[in-house]
Amino acid sequence: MKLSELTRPWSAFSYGFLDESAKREIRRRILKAIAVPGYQVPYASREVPIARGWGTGGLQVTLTLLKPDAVVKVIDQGADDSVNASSIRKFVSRVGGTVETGDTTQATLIQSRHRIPEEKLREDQILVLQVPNPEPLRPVQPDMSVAREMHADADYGQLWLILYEQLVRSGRIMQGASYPSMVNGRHVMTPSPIPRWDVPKLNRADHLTILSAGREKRIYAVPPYTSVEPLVFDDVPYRVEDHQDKACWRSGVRGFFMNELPQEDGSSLYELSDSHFGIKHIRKAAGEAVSIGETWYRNGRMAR
Amino acid sequence: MSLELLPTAAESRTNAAFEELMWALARPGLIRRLPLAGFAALAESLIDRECSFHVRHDAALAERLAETGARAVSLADADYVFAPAGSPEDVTALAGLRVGTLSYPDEAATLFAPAHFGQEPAGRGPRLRLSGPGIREAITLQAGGVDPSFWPMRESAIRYPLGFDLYLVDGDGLIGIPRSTKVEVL
Repeated sequence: MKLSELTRPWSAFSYGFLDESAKREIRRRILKAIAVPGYQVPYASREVPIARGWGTGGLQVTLTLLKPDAVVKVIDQGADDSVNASSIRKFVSRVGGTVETGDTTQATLIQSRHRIPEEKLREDQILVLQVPNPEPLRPVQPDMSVAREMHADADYGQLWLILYEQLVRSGRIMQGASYPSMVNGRHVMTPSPIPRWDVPKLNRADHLTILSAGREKRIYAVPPYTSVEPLVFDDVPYRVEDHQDKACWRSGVRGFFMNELPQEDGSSLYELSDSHFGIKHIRKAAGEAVSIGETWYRNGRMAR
Repeated sequence: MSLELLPTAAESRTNAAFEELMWALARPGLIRRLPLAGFAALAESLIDRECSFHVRHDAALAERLAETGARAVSLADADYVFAPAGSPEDVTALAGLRVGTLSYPDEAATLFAPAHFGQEPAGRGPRLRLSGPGIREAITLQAGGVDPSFWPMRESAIRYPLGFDLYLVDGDGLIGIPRSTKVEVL
């Protein structure tokens, strides 16, 4: 063995920014995460050139999966054009030479902050969700070593207690995002701060979901066709946001997840949260040939 | 300073091999096609000095893996095990695979075993019915080169979420069977 066999020619960056040893480590963790759906696998979480808490976890997974023919979409709260989403997308295409897109149906790799697109994802697509807090037990157990034991014992009773307290105090479950969900009947995960609207999209989905928390250094995954059940009481069914009667003021579309825009007179306007989905509808109404994919929801109800 | 926009040949190879490893585990029982045949290409995308490995009956592969800086250890301690499961003796040895702990189920071993997925009737092995995460309903599969006693051994080793993850490799064909998959021998 010679030194020259063990080294390679100098270059400023590896393809996809992360070096091979960082990628190998994330690959190993992703495989374990897929093998035990919903279990949080610790990983090293390397430095990337954005601050922790701005999507470093998702970015590391995206960079590991990156290849030159990947088509990358980045979402920030449903929007493709926010500063965070644009910056990440620009960075990924710069270090990976990949194609950028806003169109959910064309993307092969979708990194998202806190929303799942309205159009159904296919078997060949990968959804990478950025996670600020991966630990569903944190509100009831701040000590993460104890929380790990609770996961080991499937000791999740206190999570129902939180939901019960919300019911008693407010008459309904107030948990709006990060709704704790049982994966494959064994591990409770937080599905990242997606709204309640998006959680049923993970249940027995066609696509692979990888969730990654950069600051907290945890990767977990939901493989295709895996059960993801929000924690509910038998007599209090799971409810998504009542958005079926809201119409988007830009596109006129009804029955999807909306952003509320408070107006000066105290009223509200609504617009589609999934920005490119709205753009497609507007273009289609203007007579352009736009194909809109099948959606998870129809008329504000989960179509299943 | 210019950015390297294209991956090197080695980077493309390891990325493609990993993608097949990932989809094989995400969609158990479906045959994936590797960019290069054999264990070495798989090992290259995963294994380095942070890992331990164990190889049975393949000195060349063991030497190759040792070059990555990974530690050669006994089967019971190894993260990655490359071993045949074709005879009852092989299967008995594999009963010692690490299955992780309830707190850290990811500390379990990953087993890479040679098999053949061909259609020739001789030695095709029992018919298996797979169900679980990643499988829409159920999938039936026949894998030759794996001793029938392997499947009961796997079932007794796995107490989900404890258990080892399995890859069957036939040349450039790859099937993943994670511990979450229920395997019934028909």
